Amino acid sequence: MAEFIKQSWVFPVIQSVHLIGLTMLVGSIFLVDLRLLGIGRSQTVTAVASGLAPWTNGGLLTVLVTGPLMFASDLTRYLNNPAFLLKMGLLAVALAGHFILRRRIVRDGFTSSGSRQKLAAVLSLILWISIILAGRAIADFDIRVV
Amino acid sequence: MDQHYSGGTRDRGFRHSRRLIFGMSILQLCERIQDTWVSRTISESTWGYPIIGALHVLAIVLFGVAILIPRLRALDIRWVRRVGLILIVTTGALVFASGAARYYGSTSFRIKLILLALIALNAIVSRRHHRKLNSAIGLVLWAAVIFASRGIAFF
Repeated sequence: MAEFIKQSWVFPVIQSVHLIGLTMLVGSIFLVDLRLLGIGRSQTVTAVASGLAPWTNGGLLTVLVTGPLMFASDLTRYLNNPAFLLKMGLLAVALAGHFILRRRIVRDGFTSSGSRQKLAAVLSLILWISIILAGRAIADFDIRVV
Repeated sequence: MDQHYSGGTRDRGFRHSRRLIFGMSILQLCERIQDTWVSRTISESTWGYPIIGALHVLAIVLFGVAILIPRLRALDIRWVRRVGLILIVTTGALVFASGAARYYGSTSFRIKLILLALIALNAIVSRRHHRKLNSAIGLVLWAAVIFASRGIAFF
């Protein structure tokens, strides 16, 4: 399996699907965060959050299938990679934060956001941007043990 | 030796170098781009490529979601798409400049450029009719661009 993934054409294909999933996941989360910060007032926060939920879930499913596939292809590479470890830590925090935030938004059904929601949105933006940067940096922090 | 510095020779040399600029092969042009100050700064620094490359991906997320979700046209987020596109083009051009000759030789990169040209063509045509078909074609092309881009590192 690991050898199959490491074949020249398989890995970039998985990476591409991962990137498309990432666009759906993080892009839709960005939009909820931006709405919490007061951008795009033509729809309520709840409408934006629940309308985009399928995109977030679809994206999450995509990255959670393709990510572990890449991880499985070379365990030692990733476990020795500081960028990868940072990414996983940040991802755990960001995902937990996102689902807590989304549940509150959908349950409470508020139309405008207070300063606490705005703070949560800013933190979410920073977290997801860091995850993307860390993910991209995995290729730059390879400590190859040959 | 003295002849070398005479007016006539210098003129010929000048004309020769001018012909080089206009008659340069694409590879030579790429080598020149790669040799500019901006390109060298990026390719010789430790953080230049990682940071610009990461910004490129970040911009793809911004732009990608704005074109991916059709109902987003209802939200006032046209600026997300614009900022995303400007950032993609700028960072992409910088990454290309930092290693132009290498990218020129890459099959995946050439495919990517053709796909981008098709996307531009599709966008121009879409202003007139068949909006749905055009946006579907656009999405498929963008997905193909992502595949070709990932392929640059491998092929």
